[in-house]
Amino acid sequence: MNRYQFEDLISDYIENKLPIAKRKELEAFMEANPEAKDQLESIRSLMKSMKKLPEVKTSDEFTAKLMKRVEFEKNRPSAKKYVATTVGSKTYFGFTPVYATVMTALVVAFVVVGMQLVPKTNNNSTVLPTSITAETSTIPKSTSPKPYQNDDIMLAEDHDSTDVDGPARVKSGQFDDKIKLVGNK
Amino acid sequence: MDKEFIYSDEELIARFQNGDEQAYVELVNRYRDRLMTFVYRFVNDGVIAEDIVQDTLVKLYTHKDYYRNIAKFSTWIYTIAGNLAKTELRKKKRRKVTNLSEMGTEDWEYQIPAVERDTGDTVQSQFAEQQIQRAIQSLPLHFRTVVILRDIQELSYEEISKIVEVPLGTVKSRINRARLQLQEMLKELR
Repeated sequence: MNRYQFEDLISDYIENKLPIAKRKELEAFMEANPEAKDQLESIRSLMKSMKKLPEVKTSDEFTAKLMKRVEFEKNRPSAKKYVATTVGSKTYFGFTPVYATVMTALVVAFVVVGMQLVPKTNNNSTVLPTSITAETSTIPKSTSPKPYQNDDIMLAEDHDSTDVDGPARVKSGQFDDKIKLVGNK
Repeated sequence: MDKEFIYSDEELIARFQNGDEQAYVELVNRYRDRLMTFVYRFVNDGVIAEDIVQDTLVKLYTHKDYYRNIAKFSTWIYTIAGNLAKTELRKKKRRKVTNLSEMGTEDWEYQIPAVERDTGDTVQSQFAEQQIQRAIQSLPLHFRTVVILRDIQELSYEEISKIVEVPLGTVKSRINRARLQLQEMLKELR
């Protein structure tokens, strides 16, 4: 054992954390080096002195001052907001309730928008262009004048969600009429 | 008080998280002087130390939900106090207002408890205390923190490892090195 190895083991020796063999080795080193023994005793004494250092007390007005600050924090608008957002520390899939709600809303919105973009799987509307041509030829010509001169405006009107007559018109063949208009553009 | 009515720190913080403000007061009473001793030994200024302890306990109030019952409460609160103390020391260093090696007599007034001053033993013990405090201030921060937590606060190596967030072996090595350095500095005292 050399000096550095001895110094590395001083704390473990004082705190009785060395295995017996190592402990004996260290004691043998101290027997041969009295200054090493002095060093160890000096550290032991230092540790005792540090343990005996008095506890430092807070001042008498500490608690009153602290409670004032706590009250201030409670009434601070940002603190209120913080408290409101942390009410109930539960998390859902790693999100706080607020974020979980926002994320859910975003996912639902995404799904709804996505569904709007997907074309409807109506057999009549997905037939090949040749069928469309065939069907259009069977549509009787409307005798009443068109309410709109501009076909684009009429199509936009057909997609109006407030148009409650839509299904009835599809049944009566007006849906195919719309296809014809697109094809004839 | 009957033992079964004494709450552990972890039970108190759980009660506080559920809205029991009295539990907060109890935690404050348990920790204010312990934290004060730790921070004072660290920053060596009574007024600053008290401010840091206040900040720590305010943080405990405002960030109570950040505590998770996977660590000991003491580890968590010491980590907050230690981080605030380190931040304060960095600020101090930047401002270059205070020389850490200088200690005014008013600093010492703060920490010396109300004891009789007329005996030789008391004077000697106060002198020893000043010397130790001075030596602690000369240690690098990473040595200072661990040696205060171990030899003054008497925390376990495992707790210290969690507080300073370094491996157990490193903590042991730092504590040993810190003691060797302190012993070297205080040689003349003994």
